[in-house]
Amino acid sequence: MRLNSAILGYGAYVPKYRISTEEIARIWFGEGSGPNRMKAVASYDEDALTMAYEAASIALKMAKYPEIEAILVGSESKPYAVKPMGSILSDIFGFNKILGVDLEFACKGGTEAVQMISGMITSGVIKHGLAIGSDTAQGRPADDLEYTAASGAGAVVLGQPNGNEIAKITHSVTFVTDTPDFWRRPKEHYPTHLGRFTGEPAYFTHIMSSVKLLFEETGYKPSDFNYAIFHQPNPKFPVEVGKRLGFTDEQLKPGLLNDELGNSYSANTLVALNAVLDVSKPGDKILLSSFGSGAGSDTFVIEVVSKPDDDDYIPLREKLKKYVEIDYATYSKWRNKIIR
Amino acid sequence: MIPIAYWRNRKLYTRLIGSRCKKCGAEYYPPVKVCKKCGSTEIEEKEMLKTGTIVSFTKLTEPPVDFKDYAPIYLAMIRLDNGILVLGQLADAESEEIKIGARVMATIRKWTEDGQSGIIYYGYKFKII
Ligand SMILES: [Zn+2]
Repeated sequence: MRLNSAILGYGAYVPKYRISTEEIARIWFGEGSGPNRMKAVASYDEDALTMAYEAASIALKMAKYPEIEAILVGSESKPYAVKPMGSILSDIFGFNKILGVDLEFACKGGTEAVQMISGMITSGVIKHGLAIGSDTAQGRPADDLEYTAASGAGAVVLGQPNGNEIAKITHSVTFVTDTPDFWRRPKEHYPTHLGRFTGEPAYFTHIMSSVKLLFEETGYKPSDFNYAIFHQPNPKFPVEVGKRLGFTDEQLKPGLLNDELGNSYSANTLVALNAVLDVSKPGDKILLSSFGSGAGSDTFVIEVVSKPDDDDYIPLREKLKKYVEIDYATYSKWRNKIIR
Repeated sequence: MIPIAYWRNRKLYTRLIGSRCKKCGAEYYPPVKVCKKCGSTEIEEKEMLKTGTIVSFTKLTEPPVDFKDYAPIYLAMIRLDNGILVLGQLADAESEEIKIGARVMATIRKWTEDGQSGIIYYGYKFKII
């Protein structure tokens, strides 16, 4: 579908704490490590709502606080099963004439928010909206997912293009099927997954299908893009899917964060987009493709227009240099893994 | 905490909404109904500045029951950049970086929650910047 929306502000939040996958392996296997070096862990007093607030605050400041008419939050770890984060954030930011609601599609809730708000802006229903992806992802102790299931949030303030925006979103395609690669039933604390099934029929099939559909609709090819962002469940998959689609390592590298941060689910590709927007130049084109288990993929064409106008803004990779490593005991206490 | 009392005060807790005297310009947090400086009752809502400096702090190893699981917690008096003195918890604070004079910024964190089925109380805490 053709879209005509603009990114007026962007922000990402990664909690201060990390656990190494060596530390996780030490507890469960005695030795070894996961596919990534570390993952970001939210502190005891953080959840998807507080992280969404942090990321959105950066994006709203960069956008100079326009009157927001929709807040959509993608998440699979909402603090309340019933009671949207969109409503809590509307009050916190002081926008009460608003559509405030949450979306869930495993790791692609955040890009759905971008797509829906872009649609409302393109059609003229609203002027400004806030799209957020935020998760404190949980992996069952000793499960493969525990190495990567991480915390983080990404946000974009969207509005109508006027020539001064940071970037334009011009096109998006979604490809969805019923694929049982990963799910969580009500009241279950941890998700269930079908292991190797998450690769070929799920991740690769859906991302490749949505990217190819976008290429068919727009006529674009990989060499038309300066950067490509693919969902990062581990360090390997985004590189592999990029290669299969014909992208180079140079196009992928600026957005690759899984090795040091893990997979922040709904925030994953929005945090990567923040890292890429930090280094991109006016005129650059970015291809972004998310993946949500269950399964589906949203692909976007993003054209960079101008650099952000915010003197206080600190680039994401600069902020990531400062972190504190915690051990498995602290992680267990903070992330509710201890039975009392 | 009591959900209804929290709901009434949610703007104070999440946005640091205090008050400002329309007559003499004095600012207050928490909000007041009558200006303590000039006695005026012409008071408007005013959002406090979110940055400030640590004036004093203490470490609680046995905090009140609602915060028991989070021990130790650090409580600090913060002089906001608009001059107002506010009491708050420090978030993500490592003991070696907590110092009088350290610069802080308000953020929102979970204060506490009413068990597994109750309300989650969100409010401001200060991060060292
Ligand atoms: Zn007065």
